[in-house]
Amino acid sequence: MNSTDGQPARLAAGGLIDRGRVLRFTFDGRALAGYAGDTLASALLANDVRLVGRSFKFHRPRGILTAGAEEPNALVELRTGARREANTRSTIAELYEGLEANSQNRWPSLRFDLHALHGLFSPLLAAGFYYKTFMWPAAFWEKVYEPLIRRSAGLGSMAQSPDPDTYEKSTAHCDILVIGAGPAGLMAAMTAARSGARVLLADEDFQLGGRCLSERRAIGEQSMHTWAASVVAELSSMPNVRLMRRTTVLGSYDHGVYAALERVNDHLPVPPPFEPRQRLWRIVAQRAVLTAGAIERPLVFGDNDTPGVMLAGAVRSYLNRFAVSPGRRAVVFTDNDDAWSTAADLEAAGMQVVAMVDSRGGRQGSVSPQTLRSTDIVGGVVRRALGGQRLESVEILTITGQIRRIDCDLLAMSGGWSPTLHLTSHQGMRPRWDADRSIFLPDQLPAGMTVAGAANGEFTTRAALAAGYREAQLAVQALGLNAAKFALPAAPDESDARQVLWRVKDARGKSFVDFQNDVTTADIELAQREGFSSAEHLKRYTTLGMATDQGKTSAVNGLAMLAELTGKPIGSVGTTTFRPPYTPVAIGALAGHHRGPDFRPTRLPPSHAWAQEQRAVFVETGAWLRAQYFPRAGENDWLQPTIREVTAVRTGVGICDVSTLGKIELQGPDALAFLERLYANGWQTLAVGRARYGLMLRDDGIVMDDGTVARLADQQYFLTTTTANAVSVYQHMQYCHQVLWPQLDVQFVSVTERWAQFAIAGPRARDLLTRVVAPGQDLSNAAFPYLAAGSVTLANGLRGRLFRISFSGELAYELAVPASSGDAVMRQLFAAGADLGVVAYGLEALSVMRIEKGHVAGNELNGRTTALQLGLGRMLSTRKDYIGAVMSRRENLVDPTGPQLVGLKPVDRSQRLSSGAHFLPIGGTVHAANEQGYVTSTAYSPTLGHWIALGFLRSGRQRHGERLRACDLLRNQAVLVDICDPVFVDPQGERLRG
Amino acid sequence: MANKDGVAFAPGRSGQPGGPAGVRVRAHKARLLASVLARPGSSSLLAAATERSFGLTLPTTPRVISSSAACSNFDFVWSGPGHWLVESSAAGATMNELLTAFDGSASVFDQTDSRVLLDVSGPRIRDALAKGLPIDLHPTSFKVGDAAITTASHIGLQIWQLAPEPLYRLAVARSYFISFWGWLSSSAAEYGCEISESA
Repeated sequence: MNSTDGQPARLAAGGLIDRGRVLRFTFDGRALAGYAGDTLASALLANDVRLVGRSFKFHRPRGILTAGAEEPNALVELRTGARREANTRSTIAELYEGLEANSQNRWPSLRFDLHALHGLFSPLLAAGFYYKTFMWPAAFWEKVYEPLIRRSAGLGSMAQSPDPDTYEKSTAHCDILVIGAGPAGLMAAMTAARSGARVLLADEDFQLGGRCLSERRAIGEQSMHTWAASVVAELSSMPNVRLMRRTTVLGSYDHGVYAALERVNDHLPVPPPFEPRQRLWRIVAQRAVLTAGAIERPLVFGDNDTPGVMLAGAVRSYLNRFAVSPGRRAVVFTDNDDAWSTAADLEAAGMQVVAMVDSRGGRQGSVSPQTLRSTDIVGGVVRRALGGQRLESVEILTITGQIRRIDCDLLAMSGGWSPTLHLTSHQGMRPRWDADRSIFLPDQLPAGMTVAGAANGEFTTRAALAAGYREAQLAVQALGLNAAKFALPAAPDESDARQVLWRVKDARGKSFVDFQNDVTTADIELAQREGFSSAEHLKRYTTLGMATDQGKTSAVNGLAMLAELTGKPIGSVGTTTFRPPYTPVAIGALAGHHRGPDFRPTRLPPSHAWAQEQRAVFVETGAWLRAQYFPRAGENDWLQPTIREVTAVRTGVGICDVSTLGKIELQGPDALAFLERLYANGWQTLAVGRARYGLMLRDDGIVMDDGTVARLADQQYFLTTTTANAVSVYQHMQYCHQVLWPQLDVQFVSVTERWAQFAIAGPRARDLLTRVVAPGQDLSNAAFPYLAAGSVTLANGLRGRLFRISFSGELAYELAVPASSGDAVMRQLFAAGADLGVVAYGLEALSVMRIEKGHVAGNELNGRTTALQLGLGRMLSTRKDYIGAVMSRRENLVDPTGPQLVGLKPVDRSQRLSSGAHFLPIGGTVHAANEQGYVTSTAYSPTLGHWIALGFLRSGRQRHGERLRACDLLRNQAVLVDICDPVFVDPQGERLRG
Repeated sequence: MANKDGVAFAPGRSGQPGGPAGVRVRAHKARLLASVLARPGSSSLLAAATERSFGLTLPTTPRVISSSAACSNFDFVWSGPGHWLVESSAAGATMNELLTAFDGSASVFDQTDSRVLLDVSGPRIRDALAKGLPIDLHPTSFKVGDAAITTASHIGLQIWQLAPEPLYRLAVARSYFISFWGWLSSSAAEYGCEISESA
């Protein structure tokens, strides 16, 4: 193998690549080699691969246009299997050993693509084709047109299995964020770092230096890339500097917050163990200096998308940074001075520059006459590129009107550079048009951000260095630091003179404005003719500026053409708004750690591990994971264990972990006054050692939550909320105390996490509890009656609290112990109750028993119901004021013919009831006008042996004994039901007092 | 403790197996945790009580202040205006000690067991924590004795710095701990994580 390891277009010397490290890779299955330091694009070019992809709409052959993130054409599918990544820009994909890339959007192969026939039908695919071609007949859309479009359009295809890699999110803080490590960015970072600021320098490239890596120029006594390397070395040695390579700053947000994506391991086949693939950064910066450089504009002429037509600045990157010759016989086509250096660099690299075509005419630029001696200097334009899949020649129209055809395999074109100012407008600011220089410039800036270098229209190396120095000094001074002062190195002041050529008017063939979306000049003309003459409409009608590149190379040319067609100045045509992200982001990076079971945090009650051992089936209730039921061998559904658990509680004893209830403790002399205002019912008569059911209303008089309040000491109360409303009730209490009644001397905190709390319910509950409490604790009905509350000591000395509260309707206690003892106490209870047949019961059984008892829960406390409707009207105190009191008396809320809680049973006891069914008279039609209420909760009652339900029925309390239809239109069933009292079991409450 | 997917907090090494651990995690057993809430209008009484009983002034900014060993090594962590989280790992620490000390100038609530406490350290601890905590822990911003109420992985937590190495103490609600540990252990995995039980 020769010095270029079989890479035909690799230059024999030069470049910032490591020729000692050959990297093997494949493209469409073909084995190729490149060097460490290559991008996939540079390696493909080194192997003389010119045809890289097919275009979006017309499937036209496309090559490599750029050398950066703005690439619209050379998108590939990278990797295979679960790691397959569509639409990867080969121009920024770092080459690695074993890289596998495939071209996309072609069938059956890149060279012979059947869909390229679309080009023949291009009149049907003109601007707005979605709205025209596929309009008729309407029925064809879903069956024919959409599948057709989906198959032929679109870009790459997704991986079909879950992403095996991990992603992370992280936060970084700094004084000064420098975005982009070109000449201006390096100078800004160095100035800020030497001033002692905490500096974060981020650049999307794997090598820091920006244009320093691509230009054959000098800064001071050094070549530009050597200067860049020396600055990077200095920065690396400073403890106050963080360098972030492979990190694209994607978005700018309020308060100096920036989003950035770090491609941590995209340059490796597989991330090393425990390392993420990518990391999404939230950067909090006091100040930011945007030094993102500029993006070169293509020229618009016939068949300007032919592979071999490349931006002039990209040609310099491939020559100087990657030591690759993108062609042997080159023509350079420009409307500005900058591209003349491309001609000089091509010649210096030993390429032949056959013609230099300058639309301004004659010899231009700062290139000395000694160079380009054998080059044909032409004043004129290229009106067409020829060659189809590979550039063969260009057709030139000279200023004098001659047409000449020149053979070449590379056309380097330049329409001048547009500042990369996207981040300046992410917060709604728009750039301003500089008509003299034909560029958009940053105008109003986000707070804390300044712009320097090419991103600010300061295109020359000298200007960029000076701007980076200047803006960093201002930034560090704004932070109150002393700005470091030092002499700037000498740097060239290249001419950036231009006389803008927006498009070649006498072009032949298709002139592409937006390569990625296949938008041509003809499309823009058509859109304007059809009335889409604002920038935003043009974008949506033609798709110009959409897709992965978001118009980075096309937007300005498109706007200029629109301005020309409408006869308005470009500044008044406006620009479409830049929005984050600057470049595409994998959805996995946005999710970070939060996928699968980590989508959101899970709360586990204290008995969770024990319940797992019992093989409980769990259910998510809000953030909590709770045991739903505890199936035993032979039980194959949810109903069998639920029936068994309910029966065991009603006839023996069962235990349920109710630690998830919100628990709030109150202290202070005004605790009672606070509770009086908070709850609808009264607390004056609640004695120490007693608990009571409580009802809270919202300000609008609707029921907010229910629970219990226990008085533990004279000025100490303990209240519970429902699991679902634990947080909102606590917030409500904080609001009431901090905003409404700050004068009340009451203190309260959530103690939900402190206690493991178990409901012990059933006729044998006292027997079980007696076995675990310390001897001498009197649990008799006389000593510890229904609604008693107090402290308790267990046989092992553990101290807790005991409440005689029942949700099941049975004799029941709630035992609270410190949370870390919950697991042990649960085991103790089961050991002590084995001979009593103690069971664990889950949420299903809990729910069945509360329906049997007619207790309201979430289905009834649904934010739309009043105490009166719930049958809790007697709880509303008339002797005090409280939150919601006045509003609860509104006419419609106290209407005696309004909905009221009822119970219902199916007439045919074998029938099942369904929640959401509506009550209708037996006779009338099934129509909303005849609706009289609805079913809220249903359960199979093991105690009664048939299905029962709760619901709201107009004037329901007066209608017990009536017969109605419960119509469920979703499940298409109607059940005859008998209306009854909502308390199905033990209506006198004898059991719970037993 | 294990969660539904078996992420467990167990002593040993997790994540990257080779080299010195970048992150060290030690469970800290608090004998007593309490919430202390000042009563309105009692600030001078409270100041006098804490000065008399603990020889210190309660922090009024996000800081942690420690009492001497003579009075149970209480750590007072600012938790909001007029609100402190009190922590002690001293064997003899009791609620009574606090109740007596504050003598009615503040309400004291027993919160023992309500939080799981972790002492975290190691050369890469700040990198690991940055994957969840939005606050700046750089030594120029957060020093020994500083405290914060913040969040990680959608889970609320309190953090205070115990030593300059750095060594931080994290307090996380008990029911969230396994989810929190799932996040912390995967965030620390690339640096290698050494886990130990309470000393």
